[in-house]
Amino acid sequence: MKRFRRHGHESQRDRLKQELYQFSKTVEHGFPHQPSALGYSPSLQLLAIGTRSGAIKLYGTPGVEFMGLHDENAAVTQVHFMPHQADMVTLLDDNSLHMWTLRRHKGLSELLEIGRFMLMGPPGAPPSVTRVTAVLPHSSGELLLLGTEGGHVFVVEVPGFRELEERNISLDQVSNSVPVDYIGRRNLEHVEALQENPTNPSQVVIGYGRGLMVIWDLENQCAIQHIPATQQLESMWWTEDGSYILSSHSDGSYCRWRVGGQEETEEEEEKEKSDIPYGHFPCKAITKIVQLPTEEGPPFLLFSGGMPRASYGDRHCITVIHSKTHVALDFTSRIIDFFVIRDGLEQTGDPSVLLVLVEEELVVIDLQTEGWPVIQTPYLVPLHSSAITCSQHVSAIPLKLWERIIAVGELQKTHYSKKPWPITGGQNLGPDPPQRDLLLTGHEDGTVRFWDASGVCLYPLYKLSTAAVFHTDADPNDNLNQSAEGEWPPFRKVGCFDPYSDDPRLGIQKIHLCKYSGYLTVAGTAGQILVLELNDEAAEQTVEAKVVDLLQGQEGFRWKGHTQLDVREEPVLFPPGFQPFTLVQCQPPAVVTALNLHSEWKLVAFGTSHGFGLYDYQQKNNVLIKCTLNPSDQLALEGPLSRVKSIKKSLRQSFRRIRRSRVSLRKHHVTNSSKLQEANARLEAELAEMELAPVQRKIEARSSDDSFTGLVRTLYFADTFLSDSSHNTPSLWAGTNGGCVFAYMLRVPAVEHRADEPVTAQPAKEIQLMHRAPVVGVVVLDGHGAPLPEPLEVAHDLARSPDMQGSHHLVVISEEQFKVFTLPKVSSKMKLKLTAVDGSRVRRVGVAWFGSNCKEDYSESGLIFLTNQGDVHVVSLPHVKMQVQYPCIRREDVSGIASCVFTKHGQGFYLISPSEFERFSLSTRFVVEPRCLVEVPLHLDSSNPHRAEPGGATSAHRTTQHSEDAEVLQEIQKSLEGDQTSFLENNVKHAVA
Amino acid sequence: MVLAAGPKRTEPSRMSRQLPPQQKTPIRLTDTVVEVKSKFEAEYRRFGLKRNGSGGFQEFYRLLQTIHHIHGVDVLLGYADIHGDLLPINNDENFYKAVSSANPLLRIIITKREDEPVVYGTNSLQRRKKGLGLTGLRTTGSGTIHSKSKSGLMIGPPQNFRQISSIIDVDILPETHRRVRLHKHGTKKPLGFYIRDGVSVRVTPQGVEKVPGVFISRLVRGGLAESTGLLAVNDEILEVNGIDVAGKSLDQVTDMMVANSHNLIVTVKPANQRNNVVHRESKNFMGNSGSVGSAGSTGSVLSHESPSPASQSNPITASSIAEGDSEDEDDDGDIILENDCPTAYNPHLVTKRNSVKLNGESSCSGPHPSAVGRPLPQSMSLPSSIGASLGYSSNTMSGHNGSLASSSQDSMKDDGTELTL
Repeated sequence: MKRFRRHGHESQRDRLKQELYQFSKTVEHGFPHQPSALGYSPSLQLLAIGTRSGAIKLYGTPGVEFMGLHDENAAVTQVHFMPHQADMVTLLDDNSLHMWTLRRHKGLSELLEIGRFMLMGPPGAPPSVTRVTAVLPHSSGELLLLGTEGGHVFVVEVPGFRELEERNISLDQVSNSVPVDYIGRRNLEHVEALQENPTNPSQVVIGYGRGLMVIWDLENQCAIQHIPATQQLESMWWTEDGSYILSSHSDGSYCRWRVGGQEETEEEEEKEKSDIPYGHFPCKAITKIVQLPTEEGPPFLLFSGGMPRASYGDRHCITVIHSKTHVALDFTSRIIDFFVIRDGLEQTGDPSVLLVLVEEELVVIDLQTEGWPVIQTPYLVPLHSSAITCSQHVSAIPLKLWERIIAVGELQKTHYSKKPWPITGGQNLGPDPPQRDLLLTGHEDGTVRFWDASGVCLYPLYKLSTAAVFHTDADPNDNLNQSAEGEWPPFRKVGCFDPYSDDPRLGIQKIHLCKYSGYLTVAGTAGQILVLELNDEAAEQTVEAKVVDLLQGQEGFRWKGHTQLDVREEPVLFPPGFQPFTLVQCQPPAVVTALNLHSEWKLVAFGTSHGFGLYDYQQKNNVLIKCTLNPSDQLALEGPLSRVKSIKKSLRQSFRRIRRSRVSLRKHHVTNSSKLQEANARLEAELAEMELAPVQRKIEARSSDDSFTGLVRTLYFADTFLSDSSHNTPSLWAGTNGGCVFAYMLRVPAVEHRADEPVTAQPAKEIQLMHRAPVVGVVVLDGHGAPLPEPLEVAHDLARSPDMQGSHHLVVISEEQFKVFTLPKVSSKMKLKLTAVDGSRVRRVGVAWFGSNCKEDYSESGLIFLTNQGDVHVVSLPHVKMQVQYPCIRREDVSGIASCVFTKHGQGFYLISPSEFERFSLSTRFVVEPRCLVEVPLHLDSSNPHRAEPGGATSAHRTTQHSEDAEVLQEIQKSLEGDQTSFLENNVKHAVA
Repeated sequence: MVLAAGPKRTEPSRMSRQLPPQQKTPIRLTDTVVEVKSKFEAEYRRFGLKRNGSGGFQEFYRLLQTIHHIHGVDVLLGYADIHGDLLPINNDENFYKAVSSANPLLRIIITKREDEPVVYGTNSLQRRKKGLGLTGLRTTGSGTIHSKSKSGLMIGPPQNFRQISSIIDVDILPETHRRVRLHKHGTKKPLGFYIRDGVSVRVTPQGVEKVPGVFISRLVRGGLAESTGLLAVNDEILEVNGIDVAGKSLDQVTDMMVANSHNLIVTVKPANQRNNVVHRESKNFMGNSGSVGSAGSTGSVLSHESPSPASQSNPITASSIAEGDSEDEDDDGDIILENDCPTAYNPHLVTKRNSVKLNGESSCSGPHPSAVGRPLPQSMSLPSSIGASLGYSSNTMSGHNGSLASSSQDSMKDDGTELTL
């Protein structure tokens, strides 16, 4: 009988678990790591980025995001949208072609891979014959032209990837027609570029590596014109009126060639000109050239590269020339690709926006506003413009604070263009975020960035810099790089990626924001703790440093680590935003390892490897200093960072050297060299692993003599029962690396005396866990077993006031186990062992609230934690029972595990690369994921009157005939999907034909 | 040399008559008398003892009580043998042995039973003199040495010795495996071993299969693992505290062992299979499994294996778990210091005092002398031997700090902190 009841209870709990917990990785925020290809569909208004790891990401209007991953772990080298379709072709490093499509499913669009293809050459042919170097999706949307390393052009029918062998353009066909005088008919080399005549779809130009360009008639299978350039070809551009072809070359020159016949006049002959824009001395290649007309006035000419090799060979530049304006946009990292968005529904008007993908960021430039300002990107923001050192998530920000942060953030964005975001494809069907969430990231350069983490787009709101408080040896050379008058080339720096920190001591290690009071405290690498207050006005003030000696007379210590930062003694003008008003400087200036702020009591608690302290930021004095150091712990004394720092410093210097001397490689060699680099990196990683991982591990119980036992891991404020069960008092709890918990009873004067009576702290309890594992969290549970609310939460009516009637409990979370103690008399009540059972250790822990997705009113609190094995678990409170476990991060991904941060509502973030956060959710109720729909717009051929020309029309007709079956199938499919637009489009095509 | 049992009855009176306490006359004239020098605390007594005429242990015990005037005090007797070892006298047999081995002087050391346990064994006398009495531990086969004197031979776990290791669950494990329990409590001795990754070979129906395994790679000299003699280099680790380690990384196994270090139970497959405990059903077992030379296999790392430990359930028995929990549960190990506040927090009182400006400061610092800035005693942690000495010193510890300081090596400043366990 009893057993049955128990079983019933178990299954009930299991059902409840399903209602409460559900794991999914929902969205990736930030900038893709190692992008390698860029694509854009003017008709869909979608942007596609391929990466070296084989991922493909599509972005439209903010909130519209798709992500796909190729099964092959090869770099994406090219991305092309099929004209006027929702299809996309990708070329990978392994020479495979893939067809992707956006398909509608349950009212939402999904990105699906629908086909893959590998070019097959004739038997016995060398692999270079079929190695694809250039891809041209034909404007008919039915053909794909593939230029190869062997110099052939293969024609493939899509979406089925059927080779049309009879239409292939072989190298022999072309070279037979080459005039004899062209450099003795030597090898034409690979196909470097393919372009379609914008006015006549039956004509394409084939550019060969040696420089020869051939205009080929697809209809009649013959060469129409030969353009005998002599320099190594880099790229081609067919002007919109079809009358000129621009070619760019490896010597930094570009040429303009007249298209059509021999009967050109003297004047036209003159137009066939060649130019090395940054000439005289040898220049680097111009890798891509684009020319776009304007309604009235001169055209825009844009090209990347072409810089003088010796003096500016390391710059990553795109030159934009329009009329008298000539600017060389100087980017922060290697240029992957760029394109221009044009005005008008059919994207045929004036160029309006230049969009550049560089290795570390996406830069969008408004070409229609004076000065060509940059447009703030709503997504793809480089999180790592300086390396992320820590992060904090704050849920449910009150509207007032939210608006103030946005307001001060707007003041920082005045240099951005007012133009709305130009990429507007798709519809965001996701619900409005239920609350306003902030993600705060601390960076190596001493900045704290505030991100709107409520929805799918991680949008930058505000940036706080703490460097102004200190004297820093900022690199004076950086300022010299600013463009001087009359400088040639006329450089203009764009982009915000700047990984080189002036001083690593500025790095932010801990952040704590109180969302109710607007107080923020940040702590850094050199033992500095700043308390800041949000101020809507700029203010000039002196920040006084209060030095706290954490050693407390412990003798025989010599700190060999870094020195503390020099504080500016003169008043500093702080812009509107969070302004520091107090600085606590720990001595020795070791990295701050724990931080907490209690805005109601106006106290800040901080800890390092030497001890912890409590600071009263209203009266600006120390309340408590406690040294936790073990006198025999020499490592903690000497400053473990000293060595690491020097390595880091030298690394930084060598990176700078490399950056200066780096020579941008030719396009084709990049893939090879990157492959080589990858292989080398792998080998190096393996070697490092062999060196780092000793073959054996010592089995020994922890002892008090271990190193860094005094390191403070966690600090916690609680209003609870420390001395007797009838009076609750404020208290401070500190947990150390050595498995020790210290509790202090605080006396905080009543509000009316807060300014003049001292705050006192008195030691109350000390717990030494026998297993001595590091204490990573301390939580006090109220009489109902719920975690105590945050400071001011109750005052703002946002939380139920804690139950002070029932007895409180203390939960101590060590790396190895969860343990519940009674209060006020501390005695062990229950525990959950983790490491002893499965060998994993707690790395990150947070309190989270889970709501049932079935019963609106049911919710419970739990502890959500991440282990060193990369698994996320939920443990129930107050009974510390394991609820669920999901694999989340690879256990080798140490930085990913270290970067993980949890929200109060069962979500989390971790870095999947230096520049990207992966968002995951354990909650059934709070899931933030993209929900979007992309529809293929109605396409009328009116935009291109030439298409109706007899030649073009027959060509279209013929291809239609060829692919009749495929098209019928497609039609059926599309009509089944209810996609009226494409149906119409097809009808129109047929009518035209 | 050896006394006959017969004359026992008459001995006591003769002995006491014959041996005046302070007699200094040379008795070594005759071979029949043994010179005895007995020591109790700081006092020495010298007397003669008839070599073959003396009675049994009980008489000798009473004689010493009389000589030292310690009637009613429960004491332990020990003597120094020719090698300088301190050996116990607690029955007739070892008494006779002691008397017979006197060469020429018999040195007797008397200790109170309440004192710290006397350790007998090799070189123990020297070590005792050097103040290292606690460290020398030896497992001797004879349980009689340390059995209680009054109740004669005692059967059961020895009382004055601390168990440091044991082989458990022999009856349920295949004889190729060994489950070893290491008791870390009390000793300052390190566990003292290292583990490494390796390759293990299992025999499956499909044939021989190589699987990754974890092996003992090194034993630290003088460490607990080495001193037990139950673990050896190249032993494969199969389980840690009853949990199969198959599929777990070296780091995971390391963490599991460290987490269980206070009561570590490792199931190993010894590299040397010659010393296996062969239990009753061993014949059956071997017959059934038909394992490849399991008993006589050589000490190679890649030793043969019949059933994989994962497939076989070798649960740690209820008894061993219960034992572990009662002895070593780390709840008892957590040390909690609570500051019983001299004055319970009373806001009215404090504010009242503070309103008097002169007294404001002193009232704050007065009742809480240790409130601000004063460091707590540095060594809160009791020595790790506390787990062991808990049994008989807990009452003293919870009493007051003075005795705590004496029982533990770390000193504890009187700070108003109270230790509760």
